[in-house]
Amino acid sequence: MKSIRWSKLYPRTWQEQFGEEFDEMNSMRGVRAKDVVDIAFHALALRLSGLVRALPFLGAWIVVCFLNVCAKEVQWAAGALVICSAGATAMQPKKWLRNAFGFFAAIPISSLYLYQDTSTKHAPLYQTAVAFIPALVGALFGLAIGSSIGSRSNPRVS
Amino acid sequence: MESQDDRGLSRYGEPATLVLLALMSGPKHGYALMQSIEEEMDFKIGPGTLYGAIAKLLKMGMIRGLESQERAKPYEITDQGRRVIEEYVRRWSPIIKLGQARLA
Repeated sequence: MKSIRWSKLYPRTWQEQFGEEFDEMNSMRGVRAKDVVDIAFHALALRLSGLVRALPFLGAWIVVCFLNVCAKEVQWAAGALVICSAGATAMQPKKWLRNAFGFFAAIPISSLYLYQDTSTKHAPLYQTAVAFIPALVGALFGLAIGSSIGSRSNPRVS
Repeated sequence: MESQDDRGLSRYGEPATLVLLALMSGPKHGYALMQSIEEEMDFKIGPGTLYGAIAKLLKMGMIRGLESQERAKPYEITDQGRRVIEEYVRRWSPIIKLGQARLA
């Protein structure tokens, strides 16, 4: 009989690290009803913790969208891009490029809202590409902060 | 007061401590860990709890994974993990003794 792959309940990154051995252990010892509850609880907790970690990023992304659409001056959105991109990268230095692209994407996506009103004249959408500059500057600034904090908290790591 | 090293151990509590104690007698994979905890320590922990503790201990550098044997991956305790569990046992021993004396 084919055994159930319980690791499938877990997030993909967890599956890549532990999936095979986890399924092997469960096939060796068998899974009781109590174990199913235990597995489901931990899998759900891991999935929810991933969502919770994404919430600040999502909130900051919405703020950038809001400022891009509602603020009269473009500097507000640019400033928010620098700050949000820097903050997110300081927490996750390895994901600096993803953060730069992620926050930059808020500008053209939110700009689509402005373009719904055809009576007002806006610059072409492709010109929003310039917003990548503050997003990248913020990410690089955050990378510097994150690396500095990382090396200070773990001086043995070169 | 908690030391810098065992901050996570007391926070994540019992399962992580049981895993470290089980690994003190040599490297073990998931199934062997589960057996050791059940038979030697008379504790039952679920597979999700066990791997939650393994993931946390790996992240804290208290255990390390060895090369996989077929599909099972053994883990061994690191020097840091050994120091932490020694400190943990040393700290709790007088409290256990006190508890036993007062319950007697």
